[in-house]
Parts: sequence; C-alpha cells; structure tokens
Amino acid sequence: MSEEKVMGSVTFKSRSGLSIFTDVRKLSLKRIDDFRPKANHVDQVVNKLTQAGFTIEAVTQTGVSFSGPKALFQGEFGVTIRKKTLGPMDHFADAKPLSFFESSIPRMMSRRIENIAESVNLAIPGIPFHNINPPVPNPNYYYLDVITGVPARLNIPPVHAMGITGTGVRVSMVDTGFVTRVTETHASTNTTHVTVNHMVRDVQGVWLATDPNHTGTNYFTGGTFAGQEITLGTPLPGATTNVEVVYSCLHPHYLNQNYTIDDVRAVGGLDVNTDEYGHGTAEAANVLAVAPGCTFSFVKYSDGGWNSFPLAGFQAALQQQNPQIVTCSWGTGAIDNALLLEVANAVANGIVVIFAAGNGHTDNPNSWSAKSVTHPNLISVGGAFPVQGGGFRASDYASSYDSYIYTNPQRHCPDVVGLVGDQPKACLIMLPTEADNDLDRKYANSGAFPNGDNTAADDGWMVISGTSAAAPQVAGMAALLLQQYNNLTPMAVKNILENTARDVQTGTSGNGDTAAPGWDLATGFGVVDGLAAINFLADNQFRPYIRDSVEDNGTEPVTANRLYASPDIIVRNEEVDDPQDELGQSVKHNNDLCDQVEDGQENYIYLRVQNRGSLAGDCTATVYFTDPGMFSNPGNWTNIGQLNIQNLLPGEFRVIGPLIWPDAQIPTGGHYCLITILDSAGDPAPDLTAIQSSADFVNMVRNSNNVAWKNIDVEDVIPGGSSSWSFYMEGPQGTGHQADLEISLNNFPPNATVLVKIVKRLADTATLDHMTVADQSQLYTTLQHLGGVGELEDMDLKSNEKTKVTVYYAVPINTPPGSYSIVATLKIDGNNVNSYTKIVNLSMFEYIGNRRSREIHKRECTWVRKMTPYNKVAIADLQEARDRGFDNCAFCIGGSLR
Amino acid sequence: MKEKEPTMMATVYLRSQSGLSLLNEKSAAPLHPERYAPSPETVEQALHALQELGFRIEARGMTLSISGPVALFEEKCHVRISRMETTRNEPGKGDERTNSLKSDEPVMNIPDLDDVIEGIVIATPGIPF
Repeated sequence: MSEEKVMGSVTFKSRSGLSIFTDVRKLSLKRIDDFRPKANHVDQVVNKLTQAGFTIEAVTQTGVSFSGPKALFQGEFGVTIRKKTLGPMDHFADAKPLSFFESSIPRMMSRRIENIAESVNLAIPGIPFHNINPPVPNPNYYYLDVITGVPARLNIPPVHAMGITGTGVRVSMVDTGFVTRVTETHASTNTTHVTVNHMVRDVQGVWLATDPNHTGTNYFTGGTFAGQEITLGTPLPGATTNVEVVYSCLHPHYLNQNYTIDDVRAVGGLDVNTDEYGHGTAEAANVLAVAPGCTFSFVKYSDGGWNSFPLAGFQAALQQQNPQIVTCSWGTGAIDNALLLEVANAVANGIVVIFAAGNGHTDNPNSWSAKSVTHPNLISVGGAFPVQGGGFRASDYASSYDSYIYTNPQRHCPDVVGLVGDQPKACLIMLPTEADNDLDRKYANSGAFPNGDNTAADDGWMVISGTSAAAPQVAGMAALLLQQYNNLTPMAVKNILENTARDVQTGTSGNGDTAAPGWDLATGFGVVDGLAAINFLADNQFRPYIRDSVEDNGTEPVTANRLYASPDIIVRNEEVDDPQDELGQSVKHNNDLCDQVEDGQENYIYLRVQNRGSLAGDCTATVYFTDPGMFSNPGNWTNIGQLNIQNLLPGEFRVIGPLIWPDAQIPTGGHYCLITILDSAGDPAPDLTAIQSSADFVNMVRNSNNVAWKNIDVEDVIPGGSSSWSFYMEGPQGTGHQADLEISLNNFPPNATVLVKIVKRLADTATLDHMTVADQSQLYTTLQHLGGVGELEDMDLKSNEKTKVTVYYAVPINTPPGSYSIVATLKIDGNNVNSYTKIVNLSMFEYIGNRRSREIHKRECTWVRKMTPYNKVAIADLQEARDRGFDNCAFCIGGSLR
Repeated sequence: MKEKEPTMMATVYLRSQSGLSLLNEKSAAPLHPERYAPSPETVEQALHALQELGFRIEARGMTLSISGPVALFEEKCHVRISRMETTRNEPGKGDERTNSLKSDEPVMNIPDLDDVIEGIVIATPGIPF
C-alpha cells in the first residue's frame, strides 16, 4: 500500500513585516504589496523544498503549495502527523465522516526556510459547510464543473497554458454577496481559543455545542480573531469544550484556488459577511474560472430582500476598487438613467462594463419584469447551451431583444454569449454558494432535475447558470485580453470578442429568436472564444482593414461568396450628426446602412475601418466609383476622394467620414460600384496596376483586407416611376412623448402607391388610421398608405429621439402632368410641432428607359406597361437616351444597336 | 414584534454644468455622459450639505448615492415614504417579489439645496439574473 500523501502550504514573511495571521484586517488593495514576500523568496522556497524531496503543486506571488509523504513532512518539520476524523460531534444527522491530516504543531517550520517563511501549514480541508458531505456534489446528469468545464467550452485552456490568466487585471463584480457564513463544531484549543477551518473574516458567535439554538452565552462577545484563530471574550467552562462557531469566510472553493481576492465591501449597511441570497458567491466563480490570475473585488448591493441598491454598488466599485472591468449579473426594477449614465461614464473612462442580457427579460420600461441594462457601450451577454459532446445552440433561457430605449440606431442585445443552461431552471454549472441560502434552498426544493438541481440545500453548492453566469465568463475573457494587451479600450475589447466569437447556428432564445449562420438575433456574434480572442491582434503590427461582409474579421482570404456588399461603405443623402453613434459598434452587424444615392445633391460617404494589429497607426482610405464593366481598368475608376485616418487603435472599430460625393460627380441613374482602398506604411495598399481583368479585381477583394467593394444604385427623381423622400421626427427635451404623424395624400394622384417606412418599435406602439402594415423586418415596419389622410397615432417618441421616416411613392404612368404634394404633420403631445412637404412635379416624357435592360421605349410601348415603377427612367429625347447608354427598343423605335 | 425599518437609499441628481437635466429626461438615453456632469464645486457643496443634514454618502459618481433612516428623508424632503411590493413572474423561477420604498413625491427636493441638487429619487432596486 502506498504511503499517504500530505499537502502543505508556505506562508512567507512579508516584505513589510506585516503578518497575514495577525494583521489580516490591514490587507487591502493599497497594502497588498506590504503582504507580498520579497523578490526571489518564492523561488528560493521552491528550490529548497524541491531539494528536500517535496513536490511543488502550485506557486503564486504570495504562496507555495507542496506535497510529499507523511514521513518526509514529519522529518523535515519535526512534528507528528496523524489522521483525524470528524463526524460524531457534528449535529447533522446525515453527516458523513471527514478525514484529514493534523500536525502536532499547527504552524510548522523547517530550518531550511525559516529565514524567509512565516509558517508552514497542512492543507485545510475545504469542506465543513454546515455539514460534512463531500465538498462538491456529483448529481447524475450532464453539468459543467466550473474550474474545468467552463474554460474548456470557451476554448481557454490553451490561453492559460500560455501563462495568460488575467494576472494584474482588476475585475470588480457587483452582486448579492461574496462572503460565506458557516457553522462549524470544534473542540476548543483551551478555554479562550478555538481554531476553525478557514481564514476568518468575521465571527458572529461561539456557543456551547450543547446550545444549538444559541440561547445561552455567546463566548465570543468581546473577543478577537486572526487568521484561523478565534480568541474568546468569555472563557469556556473547560479546556477542550465542544463549541459551535458561526463565522464568515470566503467559500473554500475560492480559498483552495489561491485566487487574488482584493476588496470586498457592501453598500447601504448590508452585511458584507454573508450572502443571504447566494447569487453573488456562485456566479463570481465564473470570472475566476476563466481568469484565475485576476485581482478580484466585489461589492454587495443586495441582500435579496428589502435592501437592493445596484446604482450605489456600481458607483462604489468604480470609486473604491479602481477596476478595469466591472461585471453585473442583474437588471433593475425600473429603468435607471443614473445607472446608465454611470455605465457610459465608466466606459468613457476606459473601464470595460459587462451586463447580463437577462433570462427572457428585456429593457421594456412598460414591462412588469426586471429591466435589463442595455447601454450601447457595454457588453451585453446572452447565452448558448454547450451541447454535450460538442457544439452550441442558443439557450432558450437567455434573452435576445431589440432595445426599447436605444432605438436610433437600434441597439440589439446580446452582443455575444457565454455558457447558459436551458429551461426550466438552467441547471448547467456546479457553483459554490453559501449553504442554506435562498437560491440553494430553492434549487434543492424544486423537485428533481431539470426543475431542481439534485443537490442538498445545505451543501454549499448548486447547479445554476443563466446569463448571470455568462456575463462573468465574458468578464474573465476581457481580463485575459487586458493582460495580453493592456492598451485596449473598452470598445476594442468588445470588438475583439465579437470578431472572434464562434457562430451559433441553431436553437431558439428565451425571447423566441432563432439562431442562424452569421450574426443573428438570438446569439449576436456568438460564443466568446478565448484562444481566438488572444490570437486576434497581430503582434507589433498595424493592420487596418475594411470588411467584405459582416462576418469578415480581417482574415485573408475571405471565404464568403458575396464580395460586392461591404457593410462598411455607407452612402447617406444627409450628413450624419454623430457617425460613431449612428453607424458604429452597436450596428456593426447591420450590413446595409446606406440610403439610396440621390442625384441632384451632394451625398455623403462614411467608412467603417478596424485595426487587427497590436500597434496603433495612421492610414488613408481612398474611395472610387466605377461602372461594373470597368473593374479591369482601375485607371478609369473615378476617384471620389481620400480620408486620413489617424491613430487607429488596436482592436478599434471606427467610423470615418464623411467624404463628400459632389453632385457634379454623381452619375445618372444606374448601377455602379464603390471601391475603398486602405493604405499605410506598415500595411500598403495592393498594386492596382496588377488588375488586368474583372477576375483579378474580385481576387484582390477576396485576398486583401485593405480592399472592399459595394454595389450601389443611383436613382433619379422619376415622374411616372417611383422615388422616395425622407424626413426626421424629433422629440423635444423632457419626459417621453406621445407623437402622432399625419400624412395627407389629398393633393396626390389617387392611384399612386405610397409606402411609409418607419422604425418598427414606433410602428408597434402606434394606432393606424388609413394605413396598414405591408412588410416588417427586424428593425423597420413598412406601412401602405390607403389614401386620403393616414395617421400613426400615439407613438412613444422619446425625449431627444431623432428617427427617420422614409416615404416611397410610385405614380401611375397615366397620371396627368401637374404639381402634386405629400404633406406630413407631426404632433407631439397633441400640438403641431412640424410639417414636411414633398412637391412632385410631373411632366409628360415621350420616352421611358428601363433601368435594368438599358432599353428605351416610347411611353405608350407595351413593354413599358410590363416594367416595374422602379425600373422606369424618364427620358426627354433619344439623344439623352444614347448619352445615358440606352439602346433603342426594337419593337417600338427600331434601330437597335445590339 | 415590529419589523426592522429598511435602509433607505436614494440617488441625488446634481445640477449639471451644461444645464441639461438627466432627471427630467426619463426616457433619454445618456450616450454622452459629459453633458450631464456637475461641476466639482457642486459635488463638494452637495456632499458637505447632505452629510451635515445626517445623510450617509454611500458612493459618488455622476450622481450621489445617499442613505439614511426613512424618517430623515421624510423630514428633510417633506414627503411621506411607504412600502411597496412588486411581484414579477421570472422565467424558470416563478413569482419573484421585490420590496421597495415609495415616496408620495417621486422626485424629492431639499429646499435649501435647490441650487445644487436637482432632485432626489429613491434608488431603483436590482434584480439578480
């Protein structure tokens, strides 16, 4: 039989002389260095213990864990080690015996290391938690171990193997509590001292074991504690009295992993030394499983009951804990603008803010459910279920929704997803918690899995998840990124996580959205991927790129087939007030933010560029347009202009522009292509003279992430055909408003087709009069005007909200010439605040061109009646037709050149 | 036995340098936090005055979080505070109850501090996901 293995740990003498055993209350963020050993002491101890024959199990900045045979320990430290079993003294009927090693001298020492170590202790069994069941239950269903299973499914072990564990990165979590209250039964050391199993943070009381209701003397009153030692205020009746100790410590799960736990505090007078609800203790394990080397702080904001102060908790984290990342796994009872303000300000100050998207919740202010926190600059985290054996599908427990608050542009949640279980209870990850708290009881007492978690209510463990688990997983991922690249902005962290997420293609979210290939409503960009995120930036390079598709993350060559629809070349008819807000990160997934190019006015070109290098840099973006037939001859492309991009940061996603596209340069109606070329010293533009054919051009787009291409249509205002007209509705300052939009066609051709396109959220809140829904997309509703005066009544227009309305109209070809008008009137809270008028002058044109076939017909030609209104181009004479590249209709004109 | 009086936490909206009011824009989305920032002098003046009145400063950011006994808020803000229970049906969790406090004046004011404080609102409760 092999000799039993004993585990020990070394506590070092600190560089300042402070002792973790006697000065533990001084252990704070500011003084953490005071408790660390001097340089090289850790290495010296590792060498000396190795020379003595011990096995080094783990090494951190502050301690060493090692193991060896019992005899080796006894010889090295001059102690007697015996196995001890606890059990009979425990007052729980179903308790099982617990065995561990105990030394004759609790704090051991060896001459070999006595000048640099304060003490050596045998490993503390991470167990007694109300009862002494084995520390981690093992229910009989598929679940993930938080230490191994969660990182494995997020592709993080290779990152840890690279030494990237979040070291030096400060993460704060705001939740229900992180300190655990435990009850242990011990025999006292003498009449005034009791040693407990874990490092004490607070003592509630010490009573005789024969006083289970704690009605008699509390022997701790007036006492003190340090380390694991409790000094009683009132002497016990005997030297080895059995006592019941109620005290607070970190859950053994956290103690055993040697995590760096820094500041733990509470707001609003909450008791920092317990987690009554159990949520915070559990979900925090997700952060530390992903980033075990991070410096972790915690603010308790709620006791799960009357007292719940999330804003103060969030503020306290920012004010007191100096975090680089703040993660929050909760929503609020109502929309809290002050909280949204703090989130925005935190991100502006360089702090990554992460919020759970919710478990079927949204940010609908009118809902009775909790409101998710959805500011566009935070990372909203949803959920995917990790299928046993591999792969993911959207979790039907996690939220997905369009924000009710941030609609211009439309913010969608989630951005990315982490690991979340399925309905009904999302029992997926085994997580530590305070035994016998609200959640532990709820999951234990709700029946068998999947309605409950098949663990005991008092074992200090539960199997839960929700987006509450996913958000801290992503926080841990952000910590890994910030260790590797400490100059990343919060938006760059978000962008990299999105760019490297694994696509989820199946499953349905808790709000009914279905996952599909590419970005989707249910899971956003997909499941965060540790290794891909860490490898995303090219070291010591500046690598600007512009996408060919939403899924293009700058990898060359692009695998997508559709290369002609870059989402990052955007043409607008009007200048955008705040391009970064309106066209930036929160609509990064939107692949067509263009207006139709309008002839007869200046148009505005915006570009969205990214940098997947670890160095910042400058580059230029040159934009051309060309007829598709001229791809092979770049010398004939029309150079619209060049934009200078300065200091594009690592991982940044930036909107640049506008580049003004002058009216004189805009071609007549037709189909054209916009091409953008990025150029920089470190990442030069490809050589355009190498293009000899259309295939060369397409290959260049595919193989170079400096080149992007977008097809566009240029449209004339076409009497007898169709056109469009846009205006903006804008809410004034103040509280939310009721808006009515009246659109009168009383002076418009009665048989005209008129469609009104408006943000879906507004249409959803409106009562329609003389209008009907013709089409709906994720973002927009298109309404058909039924003639006369149509109205959208009682829309929820927000304060300062600016939202675009586009009116499409098609006028029948037989409409008599004349001047017609569409008049829109906006009422806010019952008062007329603006009116918008479109005048359409119709003239009789002898010829009609077909935009698609490029043929010109006489107005009465039968082929004209078969053309769609959009394809009709009004042309005054045959010379204009030829100048614009039209060929004669062989049927009605003759003389075709084809 | 009388139930222990809950701690009351409130958010103090300070007057911004720009004149913009976050408090009066309940449905506005604060994309640009700097527009709502109070001056450092306003912050210090408010902190000092609130502490003088007996409130505890829990945290300070763009707004202030303060706490104190319900009676103190009632006295200084001339309002009546009552309890409110909200029951929500959370996915997978059944009915979840949230307890909170409610003021007869949703936006409370301390008349003497009107030049630095725009309004005081009872803190919105959080709900763990």
